[in-house]
Amino acid sequence: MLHLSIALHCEAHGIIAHYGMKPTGGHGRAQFFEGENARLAITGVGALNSAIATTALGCRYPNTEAIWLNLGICGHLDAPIGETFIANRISSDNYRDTLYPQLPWKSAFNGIELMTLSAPSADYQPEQAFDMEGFGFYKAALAFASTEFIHCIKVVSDNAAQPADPHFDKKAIARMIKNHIPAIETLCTNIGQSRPRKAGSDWFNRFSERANAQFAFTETETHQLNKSLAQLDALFKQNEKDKTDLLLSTDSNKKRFLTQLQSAIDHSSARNIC
Amino acid sequence: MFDRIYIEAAVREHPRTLTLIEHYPKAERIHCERYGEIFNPNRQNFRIQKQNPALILAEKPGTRVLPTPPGYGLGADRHYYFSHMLNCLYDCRYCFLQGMYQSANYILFVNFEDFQADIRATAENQPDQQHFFFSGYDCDSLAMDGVTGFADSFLPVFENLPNAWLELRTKSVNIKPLLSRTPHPNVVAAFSLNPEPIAKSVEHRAPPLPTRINALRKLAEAGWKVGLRFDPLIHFENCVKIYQDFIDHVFDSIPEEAIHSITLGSFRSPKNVFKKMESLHPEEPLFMGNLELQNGMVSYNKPIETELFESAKERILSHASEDCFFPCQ
Repeated sequence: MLHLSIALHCEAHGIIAHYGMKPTGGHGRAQFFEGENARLAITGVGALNSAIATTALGCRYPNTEAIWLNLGICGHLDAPIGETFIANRISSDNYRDTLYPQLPWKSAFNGIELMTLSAPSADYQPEQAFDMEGFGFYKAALAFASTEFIHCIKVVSDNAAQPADPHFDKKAIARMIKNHIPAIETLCTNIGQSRPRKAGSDWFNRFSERANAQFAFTETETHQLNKSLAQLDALFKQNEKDKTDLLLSTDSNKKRFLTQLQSAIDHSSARNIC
Repeated sequence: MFDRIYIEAAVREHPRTLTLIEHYPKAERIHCERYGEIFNPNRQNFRIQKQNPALILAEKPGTRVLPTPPGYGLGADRHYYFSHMLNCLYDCRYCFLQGMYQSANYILFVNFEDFQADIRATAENQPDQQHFFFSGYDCDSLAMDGVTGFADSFLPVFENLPNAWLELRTKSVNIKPLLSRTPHPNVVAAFSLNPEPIAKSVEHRAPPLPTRINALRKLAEAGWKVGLRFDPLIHFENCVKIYQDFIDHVFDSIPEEAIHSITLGSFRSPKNVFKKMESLHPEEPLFMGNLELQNGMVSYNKPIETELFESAKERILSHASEDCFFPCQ
C-alpha cells in the first residue's frame, strides 16, 4: 500500500486519477483519498500541515507495510523545470535535525539535498532543492515506517532563471507530476520488493486457533506459543506439520504441550541449519 | 560497488577520502556533519540496508584502542582491539554485528594515522610487555582492503614495534597485500573457519571454504604466521563427526610450523544482540533450538555445548600443542 502526502490538489490531480481514488473524509484542513493500492492526504502548504496530515493518515489507516511518499514541487538553482529528484538529505530552517532517507539501491531519480523552508524563497543555493513540506512529512512518517520506506520526490517548478510565481500554472504542475507517475510506481515496486517476506501460513493460524480453544494461555504463554508456531512453520514441511497437529489431540496439559512444541523445534532446527 | 557515499564534514578534505571518492565516481555523494546522524537513528531496517550498504567516511574521535573483553587473549601480556571499520562485507547469520548497530551501512574511519599513533603509544608506554592488537572485531580485516588500503597502511607500523603484535581476522581471500610484502613475524593472518555445510548455509557472501583454506596455505607457504579460528562452533545434525573431520582436513592443509594460534569457541551472544538477530531473521533455524539464556548470554544448552566443544578441542589438541591453543568460553 502506498501512502502519499501531497500539499496541493493540483499536485495530486494525476495521482488521484491514476489510482482511481475516492474522497474518504479529512482531518482538519487535510483531505483524504483512497484507492485500491494507494491512499492520499492533501495536506495544505507547510511543514506543520504536512506533519499533521501525515500523522492523521497513518493513524486513520494503520498499515505497517505502507510505503510513504511526499510528492510535490520544489525550487532549484539551475535544474531545468520538470526535472525530478529524490531527497537523500532533508533539513529545515526551523529544526536542527537532519534526516537521511535510506535507499538501498540507485533510483531512476537523482538524489538531492532538500531544504524545507518556512516561507517561499528565491534565494536558491547550489546543489540544494527548496520545498515547504518535506521535513515535516518525513519526521511524521517515521512514526509509521523505517527510513527505507519513506521518501520525498520533488519536481522542479522554479529556478533562478524562472523564479516562483505566486500565481503558478496549476495545470502545468499537474502535468509535470503526472509525467513522473510511471517512474514513481517503479520506485515503489522496488522498495516493496526489498522488504523481507513475512512467514506465516494457514497452518499457523489454524493451529493457533485450535490451541487457544483447547487451553487458556496466559500472555507469556501466548507469546511462547506464537513464537514456537512461527518457528515450526518455518522449519517443518507439510507432512511434519500434520504430525504436529496430533499434539493437540493427545495432550491435555498446557505446559507439557508447550514443552513438546519446543522439543520439536530443538530436534528439527539442528536438522535444518544446513 | 557503492551507490552512495556519505562524507562527514571533518574528513571532507582528508587525502584518504579524496582517493576513495575518486574510486567511485558514479556514487552519489552526500555530506553529513557527524556519521551518527546516518548510522545511529533507530528507525532503520538493517536487513534491507544489508542488501546494498552505503559507505560512510568518517573520523574516529576519542578512544580508538580498547582492551579486549576477558577471555579473548592469545597469550600476550595485554590484548586490545581497534576498529577502523564498522560492519562487514559478509553476512554471517551468527555474527554479532547483525545485532550490534542500527544500520548496515559501512563506516570507514579514514584517520588511520590516529589509530596508528594510539597503537604506538600503547606499545611504547610499556616496552617491557607484549601487546596484541586485534583488528577484525567490528569488521573483517581484509575483506575491503582493496578499498581501504588497511594492510599497506598498518603493517609498517608493526615493523617498528618489536613488542606489538597484530591479528588480521578475516574470511577474505584477498591476500595480495600480504603476499606482496615480506612476512612479518609479529603479524598473524587469522582465518575464521567452519565446516563446508555451515560455510554454505550461514556464512552468506563469504568466500567458499576451500578458497579460504587455499589462502591460508598460500600465506603459510609464503612465510606468514597464520591463526585458525574455529569460532563459533555451530550445532547441527552430525556436527561432532563433521567438525572432527573438518579439523583434520584443516590441519592436513596447513604447514604446522606456520600456525601461530588456534582459538575455539561455541556460538554465544549477549541476550539483547541475540534478540535483534532473531528478529531480523525469524526463519533462521540457527536461532531456534537447543539454546538457553545464562548470565545474560544466549548459548547452546550445556550438554550440547560441552559435547561439541570438548570433541573439537580433543581433535585440535591431537594436531597441535596446548601452547598455541586458546579456548574462548
